[in-house]
Amino acid sequence: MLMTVTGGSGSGKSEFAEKIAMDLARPEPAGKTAAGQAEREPSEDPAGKKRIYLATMMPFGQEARARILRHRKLREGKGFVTIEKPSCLTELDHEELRGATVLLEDLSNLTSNEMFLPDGSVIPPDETCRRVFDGVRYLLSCAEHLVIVQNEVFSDGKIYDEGTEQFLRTLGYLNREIASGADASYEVVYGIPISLKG
Amino acid sequence: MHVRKQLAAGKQLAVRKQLAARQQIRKGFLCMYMVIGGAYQGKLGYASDRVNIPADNFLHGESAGADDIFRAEGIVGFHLYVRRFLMDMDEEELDAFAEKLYEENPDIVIVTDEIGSGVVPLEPEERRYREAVGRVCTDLAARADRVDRVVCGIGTVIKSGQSCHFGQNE
Repeated sequence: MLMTVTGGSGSGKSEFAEKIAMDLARPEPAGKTAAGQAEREPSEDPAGKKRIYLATMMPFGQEARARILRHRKLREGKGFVTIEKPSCLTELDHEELRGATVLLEDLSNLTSNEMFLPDGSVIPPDETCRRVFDGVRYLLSCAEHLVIVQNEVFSDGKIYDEGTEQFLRTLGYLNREIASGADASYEVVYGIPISLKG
Repeated sequence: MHVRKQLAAGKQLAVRKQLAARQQIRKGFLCMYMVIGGAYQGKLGYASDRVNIPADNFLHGESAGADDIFRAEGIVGFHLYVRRFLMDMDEEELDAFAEKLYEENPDIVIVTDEIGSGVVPLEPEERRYREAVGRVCTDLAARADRVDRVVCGIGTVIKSGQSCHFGQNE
């Protein structure tokens, strides 16, 4: 199952995406579990439904670190295994992802990391899209469920320099394509999920 | 509901008086109500029509005093109030503000621009502002009985509690 969750900054989209991932990875009704039996490891139930949080943010600067800490705190106790992978998702270990519910946070960071390389070079939009699609397809081929967090960054009415506009066009395209293949999509507005499809 | 519970506790005489006066105008409709949307979408007119509060009675976030909000019937441009008074608060302080507003002014009408859906700004201050508006509005929306989103003057109810119907004003 592929789900997408979008929203503006501070909209509560991450919390909602986590909730979806938790629900998707919930173990089968545990009626058969005998009372007193040892608690299962929350991130891994017997059917192998792991929860993986795939973080794409590069931990540079104080603000990024604070943001990462905040998200870590939100996920505490929810049984996510965190994997940090800012780009090139196809390099991830197939076995590690197999059967898991993966929460990818987020598509704009991933796109930005694929497009703007640390050495200052810029990958053209077509190639950027190919890399992002390859990554998403790879995740879908290994994981049982994939939840992708997107960002609403398209509504401030400003016109930016061509580099930024190119990034926005690319991201808009990726958002549309990925949502069109999703089983369900949501926009989160001030913590309220609005169903867009599915 | 929450309002009645407060009254029963006899906690705040001022709140009780305020509510009694407003009950007349709002024909029984009493709850925290948020109207959100982009700039210039007709949010104020829409809100004013729903709750029978003249647009002039709304406080403006650009000019309101910090404490006025705890007594006002409604506030428009709440995002500007955030910019002036709340944007340096951390997450817990923002939630505490939302709780205080809900306790002291449980039927306020909050009209606010959605400002978080643009490119993340380069200036740290602008980022803090957007983040603060998002967080505090999320805290308030969680407490509000009803939240409407207005686009081109047309509202969509995105959250609705049982007590929130505006009768023939719908």
